[in-house]
Amino acid sequence: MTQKSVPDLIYDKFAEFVGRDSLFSGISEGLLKQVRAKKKSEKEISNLLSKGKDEDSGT
Amino acid sequence: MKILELDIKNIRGIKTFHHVLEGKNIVVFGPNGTGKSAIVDAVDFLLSGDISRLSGKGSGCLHLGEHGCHVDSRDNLKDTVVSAKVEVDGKEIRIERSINKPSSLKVTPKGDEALVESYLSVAELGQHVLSRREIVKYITAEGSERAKDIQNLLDLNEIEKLRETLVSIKNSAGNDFKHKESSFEVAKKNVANLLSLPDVTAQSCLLKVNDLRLILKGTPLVEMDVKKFKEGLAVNFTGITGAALTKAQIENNIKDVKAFLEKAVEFEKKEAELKSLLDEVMKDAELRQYSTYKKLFEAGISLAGDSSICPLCGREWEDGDFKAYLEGRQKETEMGKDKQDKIDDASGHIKIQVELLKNNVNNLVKASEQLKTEAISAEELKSYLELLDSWSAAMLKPLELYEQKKFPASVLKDVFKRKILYDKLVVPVEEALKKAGEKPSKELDAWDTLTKLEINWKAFVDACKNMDLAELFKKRADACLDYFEKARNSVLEGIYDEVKSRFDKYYKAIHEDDEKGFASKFSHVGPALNLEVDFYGRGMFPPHALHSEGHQDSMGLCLFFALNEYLTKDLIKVIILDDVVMSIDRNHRKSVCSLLKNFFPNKQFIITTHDTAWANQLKSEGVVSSKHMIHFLNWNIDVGPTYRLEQDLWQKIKEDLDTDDVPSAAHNLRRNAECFFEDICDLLNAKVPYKGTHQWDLGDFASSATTAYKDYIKGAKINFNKLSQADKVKELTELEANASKVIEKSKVEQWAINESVHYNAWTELGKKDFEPVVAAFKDLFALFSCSSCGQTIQITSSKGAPPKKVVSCSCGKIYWNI
Repeated sequence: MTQKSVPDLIYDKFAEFVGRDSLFSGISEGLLKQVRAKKKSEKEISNLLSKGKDEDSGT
Repeated sequence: MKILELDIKNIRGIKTFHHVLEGKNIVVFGPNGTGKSAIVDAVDFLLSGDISRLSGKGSGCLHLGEHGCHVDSRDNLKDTVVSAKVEVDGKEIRIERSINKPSSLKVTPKGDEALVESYLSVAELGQHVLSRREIVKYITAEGSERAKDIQNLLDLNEIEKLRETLVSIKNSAGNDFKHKESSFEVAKKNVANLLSLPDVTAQSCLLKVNDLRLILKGTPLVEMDVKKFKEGLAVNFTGITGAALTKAQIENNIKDVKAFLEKAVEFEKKEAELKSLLDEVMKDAELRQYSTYKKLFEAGISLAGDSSICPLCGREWEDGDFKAYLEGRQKETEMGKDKQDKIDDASGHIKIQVELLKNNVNNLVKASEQLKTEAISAEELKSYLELLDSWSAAMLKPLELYEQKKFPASVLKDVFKRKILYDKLVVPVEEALKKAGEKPSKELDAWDTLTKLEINWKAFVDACKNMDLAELFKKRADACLDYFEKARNSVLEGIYDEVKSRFDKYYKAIHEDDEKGFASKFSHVGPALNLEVDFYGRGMFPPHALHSEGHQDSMGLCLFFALNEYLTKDLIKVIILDDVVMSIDRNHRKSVCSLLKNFFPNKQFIITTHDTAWANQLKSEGVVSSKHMIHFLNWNIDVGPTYRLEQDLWQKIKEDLDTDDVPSAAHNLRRNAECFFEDICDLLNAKVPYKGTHQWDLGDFASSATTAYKDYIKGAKINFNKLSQADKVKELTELEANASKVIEKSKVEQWAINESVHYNAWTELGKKDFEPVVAAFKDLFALFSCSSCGQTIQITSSKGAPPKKVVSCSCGKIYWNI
């Protein structure tokens, strides 16, 4: 009965790409959470992307 | 979800309305201004909590609360209600919504809310209503406008907003990296100047630190650790802060500025190279938007496959040429990338050099103050530093500024001005330094250098870390946008392929007769969606370029159906078509009826029209039954629309005769008979004598219809005889004899000869006189309908060998191969 919306399909595909790239290890979960959030924050996404590899991802 | 019963109270032009739909199609017809569209609005409101007519383009000042209710109910919104008994997953429930609380849907029995929730979330997309103006929106819109509308439908606005956010992050990350890179170079240069090193490495710095520690009678360190630089020194000068520049620092800064002046020509060349690249890229859109073009050519290669036909213009290429051409163009886009990379390199280089020079200038100004010598004036210094800053900032986004004609008006030559750098900074500081004489002592100098190095080394290490982080940020931001666009394109291409295939199928079903080879092309470059359609094999064109308005209406309808099927996933069975086939001719409307019946047998259509002929065609083609034909006759503000259900003709005439109203019965019979036989002539391809006045009457139509009928029976009999099907021949002979009697009785042929008699005579007849006329006509009508399915007969032709002509009904009980 429930169907995925087009944005959800796009987010899923995006998650696939991000999950495969080690560049995003440690921050992928937080990034996807932000991307899927109803209210998306440029600041939050920027903070996540600029985190160092050994920093806590905050998720 | 289908609607079984519908009740409307005080919505738009309606005061009260009730109809039992039984989950079947309905047609609401009548003249303009009789309140038909209020039915559409009410159903739209019930399903979505909104009225799309009040929220679309040009409806800025319209609001559901004030304009969705009947004008007299604005102060009593509780009494503005749409409710319906609906069938969901085999269960009957009642749903109700009031304009008083549009977002709240009352579901009875309680507990069944979850049952309707998923349906109504789909309904919120609004993809269950198609109106005339929406067709225009789909078909005649520019690519970018159409994309906006389809983005709305596909709920893509948040996707586009997120993409814009990612673009903004990517740009910020790129600029941040350029800043951090130049800060790193400045910090490195400060360490190099302090220690008089040609290049800064941990090893070379450690050797220098240990030399300095040796002077101060300290043991060598094994690593560069700021905290240990002055640890365990036998000689110390606690209290000296290291705020002043060392002589070596001043000398090294002088050396750097001199080197800059010597390299001035080199910088001018770099500037010329940058400007020439910017000119080249500006002149050529393909170079400027290489990534968009690259995607276009890549899409072309994947769409063309092994075909040699261009998917955009439809041009046919020699075998192999097309793919080779696209691959060549794709490679050319690499040139665009190469040029933009070169611009980045050149601007990045200039930015770093400008920042290094600025650092030297600031140090020399500090040195002049320290040596108490007069150098550059404060005003001149301010304006020179502003010049350096403007170049540094411009190098962050040179292409954008060049395009906007905001690139610095100065030239780099002004930046490396000898008059300022040499005459007003180097010379006075150099002379003052000479006068100052030798440094106080080796030990004090070593202590001072280590004190400064504590600050400079920390700054260098921090700058290094910051640059690494900025580089990681930039790489992630680039990848993030790239993955996001790839994900969007991949999903959208899948959707557009699906929609395209359905669109083609539906359109071909309507225009099979004139556009058999029809094909469409959906392509999106970035967010814009382009729709092109084949025009009789002559190439691909925008849908509103060459096709007639009727064809455009068909396209709008088909695109709506294709999107509806994709978006509602068949959850919403109700489809509202609000006056949508107005430009489609009668013949193609017939194909639209077939489309509705054959492709969407499980949908429930609510169709409104002001065209009685279209309403009747929907009935005669079997899309809607008589009892679901709702005729809106009139409207007034106090009572709303006056409407009646399309009664059975014979019942209506009986009611007239029961009240001795022969003129009304006669009028009904004449009007309906005229429409009926006009339809029959169309369905049977009957020959109607041409009239220059274009005013045919019952005599013309009835005579032609009965002649065609008799001819077809004759033809069918001959054919069945040939096939030796005696039983069929017998059946048709009986039918022919009966038909002759019925036709004779109705005296159709006589009327055709003397039409004035029958028209005038009817109204003068009494009830007893008129009853046999009615009976005769009832029998005559029956000749043309199947007793099993009730459908009127029609002739169909099929090409083949030999070509075939068949008169049949929809259930197949009547099947005359003629």
